[in-house]
Amino acid sequence: MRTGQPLRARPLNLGASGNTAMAAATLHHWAEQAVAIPLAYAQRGQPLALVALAGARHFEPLRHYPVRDMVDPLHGTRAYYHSHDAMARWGNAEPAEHGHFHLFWDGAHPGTHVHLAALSLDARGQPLRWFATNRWVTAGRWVDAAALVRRLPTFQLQVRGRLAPLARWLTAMVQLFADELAALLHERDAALAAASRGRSRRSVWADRRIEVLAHTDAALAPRLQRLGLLGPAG
Amino acid sequence: MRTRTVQLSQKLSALLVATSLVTPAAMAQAPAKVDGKSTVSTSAGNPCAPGNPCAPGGEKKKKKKRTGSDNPCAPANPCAPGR
Repeated sequence: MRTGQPLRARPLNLGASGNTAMAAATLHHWAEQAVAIPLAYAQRGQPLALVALAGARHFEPLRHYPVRDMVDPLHGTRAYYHSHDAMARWGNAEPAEHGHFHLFWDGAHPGTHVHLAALSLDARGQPLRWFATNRWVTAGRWVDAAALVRRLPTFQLQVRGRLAPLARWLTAMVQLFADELAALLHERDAALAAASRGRSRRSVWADRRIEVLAHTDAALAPRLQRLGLLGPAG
Repeated sequence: MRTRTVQLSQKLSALLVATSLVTPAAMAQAPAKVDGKSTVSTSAGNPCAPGNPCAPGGEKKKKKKRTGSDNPCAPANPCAPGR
């Protein structure tokens, strides 16, 4: 497998009651966004995976959607959707990955962007998994998990135009899955440290055999259940 | 709080139903090959790097001044025939 053996991140045991960083009302707000936005599109017959193509008529491997990425200069963030090598990355896992978003913080200078994580969708637009990639995949500046986790609560992506709801949905997903993302990033660093035994971190960063360092589940319903937002019968 | 929880549960159920009914988006397909070579840009170095990090969005390339072809007799055109 081209990806090596990505670690599966275990969520930190924070739960809804232990999540002091986010008030319950805020969590509900993000949960409503995460559900209502894809619902509105689906009721019009548009899966989120189609919306992510930003109106493009053809979906081509590696091409960015939208072409110039979704960029939020106010919050210094960026995201885009694309697809490549899903079979090599995940094997025959069902449902198959249609594509994935990459989420970034932009840096002050070209090439100093920071990759937060990627979020894959199936062809119906259902979130499948979050994953953290090796450095060669996205290039940019490598920031340790602890520092990234401190920045997580500030991650917001706001854009104008028809992709505005999609950007809000991505923001909501990041904030809803903040605990999982924190665990994912720590697993990423642990995988990097394990792969660096006997060789330099720099050589691991450039190792094309290692694409994904860690991944975790991104399904919405179980996450809302774990957060206690659906009630006992949800 | 309980009302919001119930509403969220209902919306989630609606989402699951609506999602199961939508037509799945078409999977990515490489464009037709030209001369046996794929036209897909593979960005082999860093395939998932941002498109243009830090660049101001929507900036368009400035058009070069077209001095020659439109007006073949302009002085700037070095290939203009002598008068």
